[in-house]
Amino acid sequence: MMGTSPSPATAPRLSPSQRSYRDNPNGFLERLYARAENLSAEGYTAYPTETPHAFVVAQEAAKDAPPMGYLVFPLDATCRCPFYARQSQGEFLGEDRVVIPCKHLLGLPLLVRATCQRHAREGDIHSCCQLWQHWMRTQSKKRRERLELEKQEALTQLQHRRALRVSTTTTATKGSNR
Amino acid sequence: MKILRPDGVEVYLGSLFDQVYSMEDTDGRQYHWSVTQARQLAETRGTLWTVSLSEIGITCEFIHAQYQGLDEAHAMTRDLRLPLLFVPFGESHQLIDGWHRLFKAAAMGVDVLPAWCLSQEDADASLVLELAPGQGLDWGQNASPTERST
Repeated sequence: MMGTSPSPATAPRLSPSQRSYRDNPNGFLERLYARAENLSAEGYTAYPTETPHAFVVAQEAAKDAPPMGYLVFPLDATCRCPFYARQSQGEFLGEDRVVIPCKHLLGLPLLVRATCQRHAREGDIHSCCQLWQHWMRTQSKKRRERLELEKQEALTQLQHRRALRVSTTTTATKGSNR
Repeated sequence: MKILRPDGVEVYLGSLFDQVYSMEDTDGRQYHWSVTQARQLAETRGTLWTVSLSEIGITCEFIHAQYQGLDEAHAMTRDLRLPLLFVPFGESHQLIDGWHRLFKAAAMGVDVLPAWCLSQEDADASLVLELAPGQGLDWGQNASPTERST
């Protein structure tokens, strides 16, 4: 039998997300961003946790139902939701094997802000400040890491420039000795 | 993170790298602005002005009094071509981005710097939180110099 495409029986079964992404990646990403943007409007709330730089993103559950939430780690850009977990276990959406962040990760900065503002409006200043402080600590850790990297890069460039200058000077000295 | 929707509307999702400027006024009321968002708004539709340090009486001592813990070494690495960023604040304006550049200019004797000034509407959009006196965060702003150094 000729042909290289797998028969329907042997073709890998794609999950609905994988099918949707592979059919129309741009459309998939647009919907993902829209969901990330609307987390607060869809009843999600961000909570600080006792673990530094970790947050819970949870949707208000029906009455008497346990809240459904996922742990989000913005510094590592990981989340414990099934969408992210499947990808981290190798079930990538596209054939390019790129991990697509989930709506919880993408929407966390806006959700933290919206949640803090809601707490402040409702007079729950304690929850507002707790969440904002948790977020500020996470942000400042990330910013400090980046500043440190920038400093290292500047230092490397300076050393490189100095080395070049030394090497030019050395060459000139050799030339004058001839 | 900025996303362009199919309907042409630009959506700002924020990011972990966003810079926030927190300030407590003399009454103890706190303001927290998203500098990243404010800068994006300024670059889109802000008006570029110039600020003369001598005209408004800016000195290194004044900057140190306003911005406790300012890193002078870091300040001297800043690029003075990047505009400062002001928001309307009461009867005056508040600098929310560029304190290190301002210090570098004052220390080097540079008198004029470029500056963005946001409209009230854009300033309000960039204001993440405003907290009443006694309800805000403690980031060491009220600590004595000794407490802060420990």
